[in-house]
Amino acid sequence: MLKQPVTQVRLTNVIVVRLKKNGKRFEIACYRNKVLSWRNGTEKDLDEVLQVENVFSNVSKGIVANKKDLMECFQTTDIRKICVEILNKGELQISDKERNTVYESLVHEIATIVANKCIDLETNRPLTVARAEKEMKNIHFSVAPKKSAKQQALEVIRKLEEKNHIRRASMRIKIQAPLKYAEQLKQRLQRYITSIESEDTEGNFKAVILIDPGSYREVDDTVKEETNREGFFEVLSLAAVEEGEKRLD
Amino acid sequence: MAKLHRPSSFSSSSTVSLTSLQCQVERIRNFCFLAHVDHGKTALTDSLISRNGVISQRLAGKIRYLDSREDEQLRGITMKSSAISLCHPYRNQESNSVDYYLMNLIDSPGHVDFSGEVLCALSMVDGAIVVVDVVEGVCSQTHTVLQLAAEAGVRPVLVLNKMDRLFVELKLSPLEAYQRIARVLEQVNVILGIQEAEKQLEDAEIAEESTNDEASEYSFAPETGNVAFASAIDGWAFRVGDFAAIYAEKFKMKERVLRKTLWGEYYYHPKQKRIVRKPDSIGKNARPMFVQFILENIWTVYQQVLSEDSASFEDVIERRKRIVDKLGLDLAARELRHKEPRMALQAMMSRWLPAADCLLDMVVEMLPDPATAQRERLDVLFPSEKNNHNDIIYQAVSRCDNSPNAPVMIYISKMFSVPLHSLNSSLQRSIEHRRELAHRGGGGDVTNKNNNCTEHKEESTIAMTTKKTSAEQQLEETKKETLLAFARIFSGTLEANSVLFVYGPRYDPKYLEHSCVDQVEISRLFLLMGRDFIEIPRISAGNVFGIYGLENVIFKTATISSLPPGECIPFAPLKNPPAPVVRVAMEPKYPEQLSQLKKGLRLLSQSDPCVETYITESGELILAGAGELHLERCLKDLREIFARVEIEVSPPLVYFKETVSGIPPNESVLSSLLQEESATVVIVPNNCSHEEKRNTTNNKASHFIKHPLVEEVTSNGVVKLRVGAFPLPKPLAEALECSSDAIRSLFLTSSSVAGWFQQSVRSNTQRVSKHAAETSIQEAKKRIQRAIEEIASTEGEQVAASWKRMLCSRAWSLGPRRIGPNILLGPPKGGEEDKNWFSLDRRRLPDGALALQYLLDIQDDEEEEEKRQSLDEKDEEDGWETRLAIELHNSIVSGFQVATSSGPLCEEPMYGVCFSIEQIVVDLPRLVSIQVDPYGPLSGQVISASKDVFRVAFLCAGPRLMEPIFHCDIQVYQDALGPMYGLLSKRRGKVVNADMKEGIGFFVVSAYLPVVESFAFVDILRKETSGSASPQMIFSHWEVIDKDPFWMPTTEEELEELSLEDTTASRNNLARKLVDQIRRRKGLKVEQKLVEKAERQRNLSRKK
Repeated sequence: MLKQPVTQVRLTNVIVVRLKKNGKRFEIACYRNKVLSWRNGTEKDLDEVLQVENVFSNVSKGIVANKKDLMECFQTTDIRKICVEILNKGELQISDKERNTVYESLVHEIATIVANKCIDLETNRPLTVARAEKEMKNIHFSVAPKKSAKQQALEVIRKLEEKNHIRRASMRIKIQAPLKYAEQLKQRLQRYITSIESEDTEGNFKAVILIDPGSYREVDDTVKEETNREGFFEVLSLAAVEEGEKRLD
Repeated sequence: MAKLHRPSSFSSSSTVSLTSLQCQVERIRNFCFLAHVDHGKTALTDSLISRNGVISQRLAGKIRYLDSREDEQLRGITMKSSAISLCHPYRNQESNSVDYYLMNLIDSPGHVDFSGEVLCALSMVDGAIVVVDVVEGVCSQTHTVLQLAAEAGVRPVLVLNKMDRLFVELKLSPLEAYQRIARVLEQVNVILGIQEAEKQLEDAEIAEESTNDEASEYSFAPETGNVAFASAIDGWAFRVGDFAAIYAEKFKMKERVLRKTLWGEYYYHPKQKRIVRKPDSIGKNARPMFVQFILENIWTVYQQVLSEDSASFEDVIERRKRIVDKLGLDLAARELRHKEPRMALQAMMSRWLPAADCLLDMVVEMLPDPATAQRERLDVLFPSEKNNHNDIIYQAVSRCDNSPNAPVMIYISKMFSVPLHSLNSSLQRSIEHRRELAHRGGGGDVTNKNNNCTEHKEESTIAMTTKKTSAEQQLEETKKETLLAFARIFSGTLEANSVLFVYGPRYDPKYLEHSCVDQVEISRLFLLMGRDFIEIPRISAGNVFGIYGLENVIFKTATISSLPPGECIPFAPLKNPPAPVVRVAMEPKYPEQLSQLKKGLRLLSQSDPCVETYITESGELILAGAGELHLERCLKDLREIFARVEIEVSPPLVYFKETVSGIPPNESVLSSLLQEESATVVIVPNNCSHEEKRNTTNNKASHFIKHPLVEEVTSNGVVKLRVGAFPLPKPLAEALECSSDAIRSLFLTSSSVAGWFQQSVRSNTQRVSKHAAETSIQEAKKRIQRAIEEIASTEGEQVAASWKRMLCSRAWSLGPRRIGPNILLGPPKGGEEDKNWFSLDRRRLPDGALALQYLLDIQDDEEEEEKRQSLDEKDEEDGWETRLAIELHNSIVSGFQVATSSGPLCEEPMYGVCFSIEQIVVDLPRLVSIQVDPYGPLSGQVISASKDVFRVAFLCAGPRLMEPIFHCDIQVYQDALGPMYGLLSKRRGKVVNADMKEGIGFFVVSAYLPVVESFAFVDILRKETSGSASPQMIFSHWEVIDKDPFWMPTTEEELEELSLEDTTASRNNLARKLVDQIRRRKGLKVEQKLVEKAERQRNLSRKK
């Protein structure tokens, strides 16, 4: 085929999204910083994403994909539909802006989780997000873009707990069980309990205790096992922190 | 800054006289300077200080000695009140002898932000010098300080300052100047008059028959001697009386007559040598005597010295010499020949009419001594017991009794920080001077024998302490700061090292066993000398001084007394200290310095009367101050003095709440939302309509729900939940919110709820607290009852009744944290068509739900009875079905807690949402068949499934954002009303009420202002209104932003409403904007395009 320079369309700011299907390579030409917006649904206008509404087998050479191949691989020749599929499934190079925002929001998210789950031992209150971010920097925590925020937050918390003034906030639970199991239960639970806030042995055994949120399942199992499924517990609060404002005086 | 000239002889001679003068009550004057910012208070104090040789006379008015802080010097405004004691030799006219007076002078700041400091100064003094700039006239702060002085019962005298500007800057003729002065004087007197009128009005309201007693109308009149005319910068001041003396001699007239006529429309008839009231007889040239004899003379001096005609230098000197001779001044040749005419002028003027002498004489003559003043101020000092003046304290205070057996009464108005070394060095200096004294063998001219022997005693004790301190000094850093208490002693004599009682501001004599009392040894006393402190062994009634060593005892203000609790009545705390309105949140730059910062914050709030520091529930450290400038100062102090850590400051977080409107969002929005939240949730169309028809009194919630229900199955497919959400009626949500404390005590104590039903309290120790808790619970019950009544009145009996029934029989839990304003309803009992397997037996509910139902209780005797019985039979074996039910219940409640503590909009807590579980289906065969559940324990699965289902149900019910609102009271002068309204509406404020205050011409506007918008509000408001509006803000309520955060323009009309430039919903929808803002802060996903227009990106490719 003869290439005629007159008809050449020069593209700038191109990001190529590729999809291999049935051993064939399909590419579409998109604008940079737009593909991720499309993927997370903020950009709904396909024309804002695509530079050229066409499917190529090679964008940089300007070779348009064969109709036959398209039919074979996508079972359709509707270019828009195919473009959408490639956009959603294909691989691409993430551009600078996209990477930055993804990274920043991940850091924020991790810090928010850390802040909600931890308390400062001194004040018995949660950390502020800004503080959590600073503490993360302090322990040289590097954020991995592929791992989930919660997972990484737990990692951060574990590392922070090594420093002496931050702890994961305890969970406050209230246990109820028939009196006959009380002693046994208390003994078995001993190692999970951070502190017992109150206890009552009138009628039923009832206790409000603080436990480490990590041992929730164990506590659940133990209570069931020990009391022959007659005892149960309620979660009073997920993170026991001091409530209300306090004057500094 | 100029180096201070501090002659060593000063401190010795003057402290000697000062200490001896302290015991002579009638020789003490405590006064302060009050004025609008920049009217020259500190400059005037300078000239007074220079009189005592602390600073050189040449520098007076320029170095502002009492502005000891660096930023005060830099900005040229005073930021704190500080005190200095001076000695003034007063020439008594009658006996023609010289009497020494002790002047305790307090300089106060003029800026609005520091009005707390003004209050604190006022509580220390007996009289005030109000300074007014003659050029600027009466300003907003002039009003305020006069008002404050009147409230504090402090008598004012007036100084019209900056007289030189009338001539040098404005180039007024003496007559014009006179008219201007008269006008300013009139303005000031108008304020006083209005105050007087208001007071009478108030009194008349209190006592029906206005007793019209001879109104002690106090006004500023130059002829009475309570007005002085001054120029602080040039160091001169005079009163009419000063000139009267001179002219009496010259014209052979009576001084008394001249005094009266030198101010006002009086004219001197040169031919008749008479004073006349009508200028006509004199002719064209008539001018009041004040102009003719006073202003013109001063003007001539200014003109002669400052004139810039091209005369040779020698001529100028000659001219100056003539003036000096004429005035009979004793001026050194060096000063006379000064190159700078202004300097020469200052030298002349300050020699001719020395400001210090004039002002101090005025203070001595016009302001009361402590005894008189305290008698007048008794009602202000002890407002609580106006009629009970027989007490020993009243006796002592009203007489200002300084005898050793009088009770010691001291008021502390603030704690202020001083460098520690200044205390120690002062100690050393005072020792040095005592040694010197000992050498001289007799002490100063006024010391008597009595003083001498005590001084010897002290010397030995002080010598001992010096040894200690010199050792300490080496250890201590030189910059260490400590707090001194700013104190005034009202009666008795305080010796160092005596043990006294300290009463905190919250002490109430009615409760004797109050915790706000401490017994403390007062170790060191100091005379306040501006930047220096002189240690003294004792202080007697009527003085202002400093106490060291109360740092850990006193917070801000206190009363110190020798009387034990019960006998002592503490002084009333400062009147209406301005509430802090500007808040910031802070963090130390390095997190490990947090405790240091906290300590610093505590010290700061101790040393400043209108600072508040607190730590919020979320762990933020908050600092609140009176204004932007005030905060700036506080932060500087924190950084440099109190905490010494690097601080990062940010606007404090604003908390929001999420609620539902009950109006379902449109379908397309809904489906996209659901995709985000949870894929497994199914929306079930609500088919309640015919059901509703069938049975409206059924205790089902479905007829409240006008939108789809939501269904979710746990991961293992065993439990299926169907849930709907709808708004709680407002009164009910509010009632729940208010009663959170009561509800907490009901739930979070482990004590059995059965106890509440049986009304039995067993353990003795708990009885009191239990009783208190019980009353609060009863109150909560009543509140909820009232709320339901309110619903009945607004929405009809039937609605209220169905709510009542529903809550009573189905309420499972409140949330978040089990105390919040959201309700979870369990499944309705005996559902017909779905054959509920699951319906919890009411009596088997865990405590939480039972307690809740008790709280929402609607008396139902039968059931009550049944309940009691069931409680008694508690030991009966539970079937496994019940156990499963309980487990499910607990898990669902936990899921509800999680969901309500962070809603789907922006993870903020929910408010006023009612979730109703319509159906719970348990697939029993499946449950049995599962041996090992790959998805973990069932409870965990139920928690997460219920959390999801609640969140989606929330979204389906039309989510709305709620924001906190401040109630904002703004005092504003009429002319600033316009800009204030403008600013309010720009900031989404809503004006509720605007009242004109009678007589004074200012308005009190109350408005609601969203907290988000309030941050720079105060500052901008002051700027826009040139400082004449002062707002007060307190949290008022939560308000729903009545805008769907998911609203998108759809119709053409809606699109037209948007701005053409930006058609994105996020910028046109306020609720959306806020939601996005919060989500971004939290790192949550925000719908925001990185690049708006793909084509408009910068082209980054380099090769073409």
